[in-house]
Amino acid sequence: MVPEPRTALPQLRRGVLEFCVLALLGDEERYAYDIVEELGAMDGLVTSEGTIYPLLSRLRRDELVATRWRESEQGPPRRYYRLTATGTRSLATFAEDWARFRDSVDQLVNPRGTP
Amino acid sequence: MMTTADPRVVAYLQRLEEAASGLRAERRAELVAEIRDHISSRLADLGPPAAGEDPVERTLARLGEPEEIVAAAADDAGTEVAPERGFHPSPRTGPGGMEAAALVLLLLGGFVAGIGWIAGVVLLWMSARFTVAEKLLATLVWPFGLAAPVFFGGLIAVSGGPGCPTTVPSAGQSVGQCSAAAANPLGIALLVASILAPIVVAAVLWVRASRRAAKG
Repeated sequence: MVPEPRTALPQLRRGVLEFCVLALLGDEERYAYDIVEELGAMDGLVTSEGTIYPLLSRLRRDELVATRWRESEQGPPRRYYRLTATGTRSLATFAEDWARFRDSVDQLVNPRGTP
Repeated sequence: MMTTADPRVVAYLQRLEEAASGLRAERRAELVAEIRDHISSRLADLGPPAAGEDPVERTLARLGEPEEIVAAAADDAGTEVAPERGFHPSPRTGPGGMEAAALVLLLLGGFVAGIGWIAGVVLLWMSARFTVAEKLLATLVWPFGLAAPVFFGGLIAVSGGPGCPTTVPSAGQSVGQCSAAAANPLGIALLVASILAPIVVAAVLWVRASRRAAKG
Protein backbone atom coordinates (compact mmCIF):
# COMPACT_ATOMS: atom_id res chain seq x y z
CA MET A 1 0.00 0.00 0.00
CA VAL A 2 1.22 3.45 -0.89
CA PRO A 3 1.32 5.72 2.16
CA GLU A 4 -0.80 8.86 2.12
CA PRO A 5 0.99 12.09 1.25
CA ARG A 6 1.39 14.26 4.31
CA THR A 7 -0.35 17.51 5.03
CA ALA A 8 0.67 20.07 7.61
CA LEU A 9 -2.65 21.85 7.53
CA PRO A 10 -4.18 20.50 10.77
CA GLN A 11 -1.07 21.39 12.79
CA LEU A 12 -0.76 24.77 11.11
CA ARG A 13 -4.38 25.56 11.95
CA ARG A 14 -3.89 24.45 15.49
CA GLY A 15 -0.92 26.70 16.01
CA VAL A 16 -2.22 29.76 14.21
CA LEU A 17 -5.96 29.87 14.71
CA GLU A 18 -5.95 31.50 18.13
CA PHE A 19 -3.88 34.37 16.75
CA CYS A 20 -6.29 34.73 13.86
CA VAL A 21 -9.04 35.15 16.46
CA LEU A 22 -6.96 37.79 18.25
CA ALA A 23 -6.29 39.54 14.94
CA LEU A 24 -9.98 39.48 14.11
CA LEU A 25 -10.75 41.25 17.36
CA GLY A 26 -8.22 43.99 16.69
CA ASP A 27 -9.57 46.97 18.54
CA GLU A 28 -13.18 46.01 18.03
CA GLU A 29 -15.57 44.33 20.41
CA ARG A 30 -17.34 41.40 18.78
CA TYR A 31 -19.61 38.60 19.77
CA ALA A 32 -18.75 34.95 19.32
CA TYR A 33 -21.10 34.15 16.46
CA ASP A 34 -19.72 37.06 14.46
CA ILE A 35 -16.13 35.85 15.02
CA VAL A 36 -16.99 32.27 14.06
CA GLU A 37 -18.89 33.46 11.00
CA GLU A 38 -15.98 35.48 9.68
CA LEU A 39 -13.31 32.84 10.39
CA GLY A 40 -15.53 30.14 8.88
CA ALA A 41 -15.86 32.14 5.68
CA MET A 42 -12.08 32.21 5.14
CA ASP A 43 -10.55 29.54 2.97
CA GLY A 44 -8.80 26.73 4.79
CA LEU A 45 -8.74 28.28 8.25
CA VAL A 46 -11.53 26.38 9.98
CA THR A 47 -12.96 22.99 9.23
CA SER A 48 -15.42 22.74 12.10
CA GLU A 49 -16.86 26.04 13.23
CA GLY A 50 -17.95 24.53 16.55
CA THR A 51 -14.34 24.09 17.67
CA ILE A 52 -13.86 27.87 17.83
CA TYR A 53 -16.07 28.13 20.91
CA PRO A 54 -13.72 26.11 23.14
CA LEU A 55 -10.85 28.14 21.69
CA LEU A 56 -12.59 31.39 22.69
CA SER A 57 -13.21 30.16 26.19
CA ARG A 58 -9.56 29.17 26.53
CA LEU A 59 -8.43 32.62 25.37
CA ARG A 60 -10.76 34.03 28.00
CA ARG A 61 -9.35 31.83 30.76
CA ASP A 62 -5.82 32.74 29.69
CA GLU A 63 -6.85 36.40 29.86
CA LEU A 64 -5.88 37.18 26.29
CA VAL A 65 -9.44 38.33 25.72
CA ALA A 66 -12.01 39.79 28.09
CA THR A 67 -15.76 39.54 27.75
CA ARG A 68 -18.89 41.29 28.82
CA TRP A 69 -22.56 40.63 28.31
CA ARG A 70 -24.55 43.05 26.20
CA GLU A 71 -28.23 43.24 25.48
CA SER A 72 -29.20 42.43 21.92
CA GLU A 73 -32.25 43.54 19.96
CA GLN A 74 -33.00 40.06 18.74
CA GLY A 75 -32.90 37.32 21.35
CA PRO A 76 -30.95 36.84 24.60
CA PRO A 77 -27.95 38.93 25.77
CA ARG A 78 -24.71 38.19 23.98
CA ARG A 79 -21.20 37.82 25.22
CA TYR A 80 -18.85 40.30 23.56
CA TYR A 81 -15.12 39.67 23.29
CA ARG A 82 -12.30 42.19 23.19
CA LEU A 83 -8.50 42.01 23.42
CA THR A 84 -6.78 42.54 26.75
CA ALA A 85 -3.38 44.23 27.02
CA THR A 86 -1.78 40.77 27.12
CA GLY A 87 -3.81 39.77 24.07
CA THR A 88 -2.65 42.83 22.18
CA ARG A 89 0.99 42.14 23.05
CA SER A 90 0.64 38.47 22.10
CA LEU A 91 -0.81 39.45 18.77
CA ALA A 92 2.02 41.93 18.09
CA THR A 93 4.62 39.27 18.93
CA PHE A 94 2.88 36.76 16.71
CA ALA A 95 2.76 39.22 13.81
CA GLU A 96 6.55 39.55 13.95
CA ASP A 97 7.15 35.84 14.48
CA TRP A 98 4.83 35.00 11.63
CA ALA A 99 6.51 37.36 9.17
CA ARG A 100 9.93 35.86 9.90
CA PHE A 101 8.61 32.32 9.86
CA ARG A 102 6.70 32.81 6.60
CA ASP A 103 9.71 34.39 4.87
CA SER A 104 12.01 31.59 5.91
CA VAL A 105 9.60 28.88 4.80
CA ASP A 106 8.96 30.71 1.52
CA GLN A 107 12.69 30.88 0.81
CA LEU A 108 12.89 27.12 1.04
CA VAL A 109 9.58 26.07 -0.42
CA ASN A 110 9.06 28.74 -3.12
CA PRO A 111 12.56 29.92 -3.94
CA ARG A 112 11.35 31.74 -7.07
CA GLY A 113 8.74 33.67 -5.16
CA THR A 114 5.67 32.21 -6.85
CA PRO A 115 3.83 29.12 -5.75
CA MET B 1 -36.52 29.02 20.71
CA MET B 2 -38.42 27.98 17.60
CA THR B 3 -35.41 27.38 15.39
CA THR B 4 -33.60 25.05 17.76
CA ALA B 5 -36.70 22.88 18.22
CA ASP B 6 -35.92 20.97 15.01
CA PRO B 7 -35.46 17.32 16.01
CA ARG B 8 -32.07 17.18 14.29
CA VAL B 9 -30.91 20.16 16.33
CA VAL B 10 -32.24 18.59 19.52
CA ALA B 11 -30.46 15.32 18.70
CA TYR B 12 -27.24 17.20 17.87
CA LEU B 13 -27.27 19.10 21.16
CA GLN B 14 -28.02 15.87 23.00
CA ARG B 15 -24.99 14.22 21.42
CA LEU B 16 -22.89 17.25 22.34
CA GLU B 17 -24.08 17.07 25.93
CA GLU B 18 -23.20 13.37 26.13
CA ALA B 19 -19.83 13.79 24.44
CA ALA B 20 -19.04 16.58 26.91
CA SER B 21 -19.81 14.49 29.98
CA GLY B 22 -16.10 14.43 30.80
CA LEU B 23 -15.91 18.23 31.07
CA ARG B 24 -16.65 20.14 34.26
CA ALA B 25 -20.39 20.81 34.62
CA GLU B 26 -20.13 24.58 34.14
CA ARG B 27 -17.91 24.28 31.08
CA ARG B 28 -20.24 21.71 29.58
CA ALA B 29 -23.30 23.91 30.19
CA GLU B 30 -21.49 26.90 28.71
CA LEU B 31 -20.38 25.00 25.62
CA VAL B 32 -23.85 23.59 24.94
CA ALA B 33 -25.42 27.04 25.41
CA GLU B 34 -22.91 28.62 23.02
CA ILE B 35 -23.49 26.02 20.33
CA ARG B 36 -27.26 26.36 20.77
CA ASP B 37 -26.98 30.14 20.37
CA HIS B 38 -24.80 29.65 17.34
CA ILE B 39 -27.36 27.38 15.69
CA SER B 40 -30.24 29.76 16.31
CA SER B 41 -28.21 32.77 15.11
CA ARG B 42 -27.14 30.95 11.97
CA LEU B 43 -30.64 29.72 11.19
CA ALA B 44 -32.01 33.24 11.71
CA ASP B 45 -29.28 34.54 9.36
CA LEU B 46 -30.02 32.02 6.66
CA GLY B 47 -33.70 32.89 6.63
CA PRO B 48 -36.43 30.72 5.18
CA PRO B 49 -35.06 27.77 3.19
CA ALA B 50 -35.05 28.06 -0.60
CA ALA B 51 -35.97 25.08 -2.75
CA GLY B 52 -33.53 22.20 -2.42
CA GLU B 53 -31.77 23.80 0.56
CA ASP B 54 -31.66 22.54 4.08
CA PRO B 55 -30.41 25.25 6.44
CA VAL B 56 -30.44 22.96 9.48
CA GLU B 57 -28.30 20.35 7.81
CA ARG B 58 -25.89 22.95 6.48
CA THR B 59 -25.58 24.63 9.85
CA LEU B 60 -24.85 21.37 11.68
CA ALA B 61 -22.42 20.20 9.00
CA ARG B 62 -20.42 23.40 9.29
CA LEU B 63 -20.32 23.14 13.06
CA GLY B 64 -18.62 19.74 12.82
CA GLU B 65 -19.18 16.58 14.84
CA PRO B 66 -20.08 17.14 18.50
CA GLU B 67 -17.24 14.82 19.50
CA GLU B 68 -14.81 16.98 17.54
CA ILE B 69 -15.96 20.12 19.37
CA VAL B 70 -15.58 18.41 22.74
CA ALA B 71 -12.15 17.11 21.73
CA ALA B 72 -11.11 20.71 21.07
CA ALA B 73 -12.37 21.69 24.53
CA ALA B 74 -10.57 18.77 26.17
CA ASP B 75 -7.42 19.51 24.16
CA ASP B 76 -7.40 23.02 25.50
CA ALA B 77 -7.58 21.77 29.05
CA GLY B 78 -4.54 19.60 28.34
CA THR B 79 -2.42 22.29 26.72
CA GLU B 80 -3.24 24.98 29.26
CA VAL B 81 -0.07 24.42 31.22
CA ALA B 82 2.13 23.45 28.26
CA PRO B 83 5.54 25.09 28.71
CA GLU B 84 5.72 26.57 25.18
CA ARG B 85 2.89 28.98 25.99
CA GLY B 86 5.35 31.25 27.70
CA PHE B 87 3.42 34.50 27.61
CA HIS B 88 0.99 33.81 30.43
CA PRO B 89 1.61 32.46 33.90
CA SER B 90 0.52 28.99 34.81
CA PRO B 91 -2.89 29.16 36.48
CA ARG B 92 -1.50 27.03 39.27
CA THR B 93 0.35 29.31 41.69
CA GLY B 94 0.23 27.48 45.01
CA PRO B 95 0.76 24.00 46.34
CA GLY B 96 -2.22 21.75 45.82
CA GLY B 97 -4.96 20.41 48.05
CA MET B 98 -2.94 17.30 48.82
CA GLU B 99 -0.11 19.34 50.37
CA ALA B 100 -2.59 21.39 52.41
CA ALA B 101 -4.35 18.25 53.63
CA ALA B 102 -1.02 16.62 54.53
CA LEU B 103 0.14 19.57 56.65
CA VAL B 104 -3.21 20.00 58.41
CA LEU B 105 -3.41 16.28 59.19
CA LEU B 106 0.18 16.26 60.45
CA LEU B 107 -0.67 19.05 62.90
CA LEU B 108 -4.15 18.06 64.01
CA GLY B 109 -4.65 14.48 62.81
CA GLY B 110 -3.11 13.12 66.01
CA PHE B 111 -6.25 14.14 67.89
CA VAL B 112 -8.27 11.73 65.75
CA ALA B 113 -7.06 8.61 67.59
CA GLY B 114 -3.67 9.10 65.89
CA ILE B 115 -5.01 7.80 62.58
CA GLY B 116 -5.33 11.28 61.11
CA TRP B 117 -1.62 11.88 61.66
CA ILE B 118 -0.72 8.63 59.89
CA ALA B 119 -2.88 9.69 56.92
CA GLY B 120 -1.00 13.01 56.95
CA VAL B 121 2.35 11.17 56.80
CA VAL B 122 1.15 9.08 53.86
CA LEU B 123 0.02 12.20 51.94
CA LEU B 124 3.25 14.00 52.84
CA TRP B 125 5.43 11.24 51.39
CA MET B 126 3.20 10.88 48.32
CA SER B 127 3.55 14.55 47.43
CA ALA B 128 6.13 15.47 44.82
CA ARG B 129 6.35 19.04 46.11
CA PHE B 130 8.43 18.43 49.19
CA THR B 131 12.08 17.35 49.40
CA VAL B 132 13.07 14.23 51.33
CA ALA B 133 14.66 16.40 54.03
CA GLU B 134 11.44 18.33 54.45
CA LYS B 135 9.44 15.11 54.61
CA LEU B 136 11.75 13.72 57.30
CA LEU B 137 11.56 16.93 59.30
CA ALA B 138 7.77 17.06 59.14
CA THR B 139 7.51 13.39 60.15
CA LEU B 140 9.88 13.67 63.12
CA VAL B 141 8.61 17.01 64.52
CA TRP B 142 6.53 15.55 66.09
CA PRO B 143 5.04 12.14 65.69
CA PHE B 144 1.29 12.75 66.18
CA GLY B 145 1.78 16.49 65.70
CA LEU B 146 0.22 18.86 68.21
CA ALA B 147 -1.44 15.94 69.95
CA ALA B 148 1.96 14.85 71.36
CA PRO B 149 2.88 17.95 73.42
CA VAL B 150 -0.73 18.51 74.46
CA PHE B 151 -1.01 14.92 75.65
CA PHE B 152 2.33 14.91 77.48
CA GLY B 153 1.70 18.42 78.78
CA GLY B 154 -1.53 17.15 80.27
CA LEU B 155 0.23 14.17 81.84
CA ILE B 156 2.83 16.39 83.45
CA ALA B 157 0.15 18.70 84.76
CA VAL B 158 -1.84 15.79 86.20
CA SER B 159 1.22 14.26 87.79
CA GLY B 160 1.92 17.60 89.43
CA GLY B 161 -0.27 16.48 92.33
CA PRO B 162 -3.68 17.41 93.73
CA GLY B 163 -4.74 21.01 93.22
CA CYS B 164 -2.83 21.41 90.02
CA PRO B 165 -4.89 22.38 86.98
CA THR B 166 -5.12 19.63 84.38
CA THR B 167 -4.50 22.16 81.63
CA VAL B 168 -1.35 24.10 81.01
CA PRO B 169 -1.20 27.14 83.29
CA SER B 170 -1.05 30.42 81.42
CA ALA B 171 1.45 33.13 82.26
CA GLY B 172 -0.78 35.27 84.42
CA GLN B 173 -2.31 32.42 86.40
CA SER B 174 -1.16 31.61 89.88
CA VAL B 175 0.66 28.30 89.87
CA GLY B 176 1.80 28.48 93.48
CA GLN B 177 0.47 25.12 94.65
CA CYS B 178 1.97 23.24 91.79
CA SER B 179 5.42 22.00 92.49
CA ALA B 180 5.98 19.70 89.47
CA ALA B 181 7.17 20.31 85.95
CA ALA B 182 4.03 22.13 84.88
CA ALA B 183 4.75 24.94 87.31
CA ASN B 184 8.42 25.11 86.47
CA PRO B 185 9.05 28.02 84.06
CA LEU B 186 11.54 25.88 82.15
CA GLY B 187 8.93 23.13 81.80
CA ILE B 188 6.39 25.63 80.49
CA ALA B 189 8.89 27.05 78.03
CA LEU B 190 9.70 23.55 76.76
CA LEU B 191 6.03 22.78 76.44
CA VAL B 192 5.33 25.99 74.48
CA ALA B 193 8.34 25.32 72.25
CA SER B 194 7.21 21.78 71.59
CA ILE B 195 3.78 23.09 70.59
CA LEU B 196 5.23 25.80 68.35
CA ALA B 197 7.78 23.51 66.65
CA PRO B 198 5.36 21.50 64.49
CA ILE B 199 3.43 24.67 63.59
CA VAL B 200 6.64 26.36 62.42
CA VAL B 201 7.69 23.25 60.49
CA ALA B 202 4.31 23.09 58.72
CA ALA B 203 4.43 26.81 57.88
CA VAL B 204 7.98 26.54 56.49
CA LEU B 205 7.04 23.55 54.32
CA TRP B 206 3.99 25.38 52.99
CA VAL B 207 5.98 28.49 52.10
CA ARG B 208 8.75 26.50 50.40
CA ALA B 209 6.27 24.41 48.39
CA SER B 210 4.48 27.61 47.36
CA ARG B 211 7.71 29.21 46.14
CA ARG B 212 8.59 26.10 44.18
CA ALA B 213 5.13 26.03 42.58
CA ALA B 214 5.38 29.72 41.62
CA LYS B 215 8.73 29.14 39.90
CA GLY B 216 7.83 25.96 38.06
